[in-house]
Amino acid sequence: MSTIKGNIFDIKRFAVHDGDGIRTTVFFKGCPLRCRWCHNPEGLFAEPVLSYTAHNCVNCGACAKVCKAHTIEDGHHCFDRTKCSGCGNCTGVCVGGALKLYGSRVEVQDLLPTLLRDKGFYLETNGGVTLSGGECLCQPEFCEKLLRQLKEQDIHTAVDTSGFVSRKALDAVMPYTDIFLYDIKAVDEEIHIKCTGQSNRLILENLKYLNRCQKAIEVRIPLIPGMNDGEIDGIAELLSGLEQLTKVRVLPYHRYAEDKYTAMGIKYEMPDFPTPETEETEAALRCLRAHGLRAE
Amino acid sequence: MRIESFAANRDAMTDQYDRADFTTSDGLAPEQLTTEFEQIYKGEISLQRGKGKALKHYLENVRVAVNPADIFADMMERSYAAEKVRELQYDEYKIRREDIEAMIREKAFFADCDFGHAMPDWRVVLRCGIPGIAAETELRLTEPGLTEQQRDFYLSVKDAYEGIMAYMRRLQRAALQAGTPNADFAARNLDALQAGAPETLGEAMQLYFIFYSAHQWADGVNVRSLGGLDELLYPFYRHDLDSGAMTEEQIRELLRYFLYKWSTIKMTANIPFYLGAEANELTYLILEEYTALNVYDPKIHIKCGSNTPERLYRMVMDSIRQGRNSFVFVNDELIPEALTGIGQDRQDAQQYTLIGCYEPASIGKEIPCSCNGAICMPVAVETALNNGRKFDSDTPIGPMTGTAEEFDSFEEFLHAVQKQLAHWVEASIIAINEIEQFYPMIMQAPVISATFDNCMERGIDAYAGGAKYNNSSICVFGLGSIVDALVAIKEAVFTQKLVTLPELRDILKNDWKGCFELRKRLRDDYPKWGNDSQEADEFAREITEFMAERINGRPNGRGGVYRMGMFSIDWRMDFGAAMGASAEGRRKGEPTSKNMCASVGLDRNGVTAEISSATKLDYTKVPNGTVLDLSIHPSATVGEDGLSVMVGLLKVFLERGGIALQINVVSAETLRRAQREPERYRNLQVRLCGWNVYFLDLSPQAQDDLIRSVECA
Repeated sequence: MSTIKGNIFDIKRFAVHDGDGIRTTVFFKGCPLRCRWCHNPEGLFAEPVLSYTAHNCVNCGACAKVCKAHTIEDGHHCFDRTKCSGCGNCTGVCVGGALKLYGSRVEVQDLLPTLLRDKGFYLETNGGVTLSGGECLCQPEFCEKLLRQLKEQDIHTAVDTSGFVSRKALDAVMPYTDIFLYDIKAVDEEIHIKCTGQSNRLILENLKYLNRCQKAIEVRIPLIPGMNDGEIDGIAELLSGLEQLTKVRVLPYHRYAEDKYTAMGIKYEMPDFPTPETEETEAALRCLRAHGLRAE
Repeated sequence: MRIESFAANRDAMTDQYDRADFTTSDGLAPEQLTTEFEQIYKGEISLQRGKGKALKHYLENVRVAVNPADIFADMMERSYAAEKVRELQYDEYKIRREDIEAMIREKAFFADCDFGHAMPDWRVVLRCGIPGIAAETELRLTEPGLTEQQRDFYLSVKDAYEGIMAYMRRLQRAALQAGTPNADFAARNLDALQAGAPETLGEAMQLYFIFYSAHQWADGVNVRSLGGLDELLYPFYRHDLDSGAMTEEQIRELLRYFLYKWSTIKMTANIPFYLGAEANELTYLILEEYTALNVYDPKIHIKCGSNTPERLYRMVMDSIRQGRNSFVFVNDELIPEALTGIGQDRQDAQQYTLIGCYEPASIGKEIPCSCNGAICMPVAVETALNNGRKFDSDTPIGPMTGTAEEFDSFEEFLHAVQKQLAHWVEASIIAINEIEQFYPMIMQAPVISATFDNCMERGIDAYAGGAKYNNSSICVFGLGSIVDALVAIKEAVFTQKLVTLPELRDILKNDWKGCFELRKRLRDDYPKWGNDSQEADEFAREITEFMAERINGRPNGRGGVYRMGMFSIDWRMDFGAAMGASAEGRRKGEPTSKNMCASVGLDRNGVTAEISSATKLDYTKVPNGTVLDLSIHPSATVGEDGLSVMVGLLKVFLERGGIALQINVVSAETLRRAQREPERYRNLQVRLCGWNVYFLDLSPQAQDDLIRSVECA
C-alpha cells in the first residue's frame, strides 16, 4: 500500500489566530466551497498554483530560461498561465521573489518534525497544531493519520473546517481532534448558496452532529457586508442551542486578499464593498452576546 | 507636604536642562572653573588627592540652578572639567602600536579604556546619606597605620563629599529663592539631607538626583543604572504611607515627577533601572505611572525568576504592546551563574545590577567596564578569504592564513577564520591591558569609590583596583552574519560546488555585481541562524564557545578578568559600513546582524524559531550579557489571549536558558520602512483577522491601507 500524501500549501509557525495559544497551522489545498470573499485563494484548488507578484519582479529573465511559460518581451516579464504545469522550477531561480508555487505533496512523517518543533510553546500557552486550508477534511485519511500521530505526542489539535464535508470524514478525525473551528456563514440557504455556491444543509447538520458527539466547537463568522450581515441574528439563534460551543469569533471582512487573486490569475468575484466599520463588528458581537454567547 | 500637580508642571520640566539659566547663580563661569579644576588637580603630587580637592572646589563654585516647576533640585552647569583633564592624562599615557591601530582603524574591532559603565552602590547612598559617608571617611582617616596612598584616597573622598555638602547647600539656597511650593519642597528635602540619611520618599528621591549629578557631571563618571528602584525606594515608601505622611495618590505624584525628570536629562542611551527582584506594591505603582507617562527613558530591566508574579509579566507586556518597548526581561536565575563563572562569589553574583543596556555587574563590588572592546566577528570571514586583509585594503590586519586558492576543505577555511578571531582577541587584550595599567594615573573616582565597601576598607579608588572585582569586557558581535556566511560557504563552495572559493571572493569583492542568481541562492537556499536550524545553530554554538574560551576569565590590566558579551548596539552599523559583501547575501556596507537576532530579513520561521535558536547557546558563558530582540505584529498581541502569548514566549525563553529578551510590537513606521527598503523586510508577515500575507506581496495601495489600519489600532 502506498503511503498517503497530503496536499498542502503552507505551514505557519507562531500562528495565534487559529485556536488558543501559540500554534502551528498546516494549510491544505482544495475546497468544495467558493466563498466569494475567500482570503486564502491558494487553497481553493487541489492543483498546484503558481503565484506571480508583478511588483516584486525585476524582469531578469531567469525564469524564461527554465520554462517556456515565461518570456521577456520588450524587457518585461510575461507569464502565460496556460503553459504552466505547476512544476515550480521557475520559483527556484526567481531573484526578486515574485514567483511562488502553492501546493506540495507531503507525508505525515515529513510534517511531524516541523509540527513538533514548538511543542514547548504549545504547552506553555495551551496551544497546539491546527489543520486549516482550503478544506482540510477533503483529505480525511491524511488528516486522520496526522492527527492521530499528533495525539500520540500529546499535542492539542484543532481542525478548521467549513463543515461542508462528509459525515465519514468527521467521524474519521473526531477521535483525534480536541476542538473544531467551524465556519458558519449563513443560516438562510439561499443566501448561503449565493455566498458560497453551495447549500448549507450539510454544514448545519454536521454542526449539530458534532455537538451531539460532545466535541468542543469554536464557531467563526466571517462578517461580509452586503452578503451575510443580515444573518447574525439567525446564526446567534442557531448557536445558542449548542452545548459544546466554547466561543464565537467574528472575523470582519478585508479586501487584502485581492492581490493574491491577481497574482494567482484567479478572478476575484467579491463586489467592492467597504470593509465593516468597528461599529458594525461591535453590533454583531452585541447581538451574539445578547443570546448568551461568548463572542470575540 | 504641599506640591503642585505634576500635570500642571510637566511641560515646564520638559527641556529644563537645556533651558536652565545659570547666570543668576553665584559661582564661576565654565571656562574659569575648568582651568581652576585642572590647576588644583595637577597641583598635588598625588593625583588622587588632587582629584578630591579639585572636585570640592568644583562643587563649591559650579553655577547651580533650580527649576521652580520641579520638586527636585539638581542643576549644575556642565563644563566637563573632570572629563577634560582625564583626556589629557589619557593622551599622556596611551601607547599606540601601529599593528593594533591598523586593526582598529580598519574596523576588525575596537579596544580601549572604559571609564564609564558603572553604578554606585545605591544601597549605601540611601542608607548613609552624604553626611553618613563623610563621617565614615573621617573615621577611616583616624585609623592607625594608614599608608600614604590610603590617606590620599580617604582625603579625596572627604573632599569630594564636602563638595557635595556644599553643592546641596547652594542648591537649597537657590530653591528658597525660587519660592514656589515645588522649590520649597526641594529646599526642605535638601535641608534634611545635609543633616543625615533620607527618611522620606521625597528625601530619598532628592538624594538620587544629588548623587547622580555629582557623580555624572562633577566627578565625570557615567552612571549606568539607578539600581533596583522598587527595592531601594520601598522602605521610604512604607515610611511615608505607614506614618500617614502621604497618601497613595501623593506617592504617585512623586513618582511622576521623579520618573519624568530622568527623561528630561536626555542622556545618550537613556538611564536604566531595574524592577522585580523582589516585586512589591511599589513595583506596580512605578510601572503604572511609567506607562501613563508614555516616555521611553528611563529604560527598565525586569528581573525574571521563578517567583516573579504573573501580574508583573502581564503588566509589562501590556505596556509593551501599547508601544512602550524600552523594557528588557533578564533571566534572574541564569545571570548569577554567568558571574560565578568568571570567579565571583555566589553571594556577590546574586546581588547584581544591569549596567547600561544588558550588562550584569555585582552591586557595589564590580567595576565591569562593559564596553572596553568589541570584535566584529564576520570580518574574520572577509580577512580569511583575503589572506588577512580586508577586500579593499593592502594592510594585513589578521594573520596571513593563505589565499582563497589554498583551501582544500571547509575545515581548513574554518580554521583560518578562527585564527583571525583568536588574533583579534589577543590584540584587543593587549591594547586594553596596556591602557588599564595606567588607570591610576588617568582617572580617580572618589564619589563612586566611597560607596564600594572594598574600596573603603582597602583605601583604594575603584578605578585603581580597589573594587572587589576590577573587570573588563569584550563583546563579540555579528553572530548571525558570521554563522550564515560560514554555512553558505560550506554548502555552496565545498558541498555543492556551485562556485569556487576564489570565485566567491572575487564576487564579494565586486559586491555581487552581475551575480543576482548566485546571491539569491546563497541567501535563500541554505540554513540561517535564528531559524531553528540544527546546522546553523551548531555553528553558532561552536563560535560562541570558541570566543568564550579565549575571553572569559583572562587577566586584565587592573587585577581583574575579562567578561565576554555578545551585544552589538550601534556598532553593527558602523562596522558593517566598513565591511565588504558577505557570503550569506549581505551587500557591501550593510549592517551586520543584531544582538542574538537572525540576520536582517533572514528570519523566515517566526519568533518561536528565533527563540529556539537563540536558546541553544550557553549564556552562562556570556557574563557581559546580550539580548534577543523579537518583533511581533500588533495583531498577535490583542486581548487577553495576546497577553498570554507574549508571556508564553517569555517563559519558554527563560526556561530554555535565554539571558535577556526584548519585544517590539511592530509599528506602522516599520511597515513604512519596509516599503522603502523591501529587501530587508521580505519576511515581514502581516496578519489580519485570521490570515497571513507577506507584507511585500500586497500592492502598494494595500500596503498603505494596512499602514493606516495599524495606525488606527
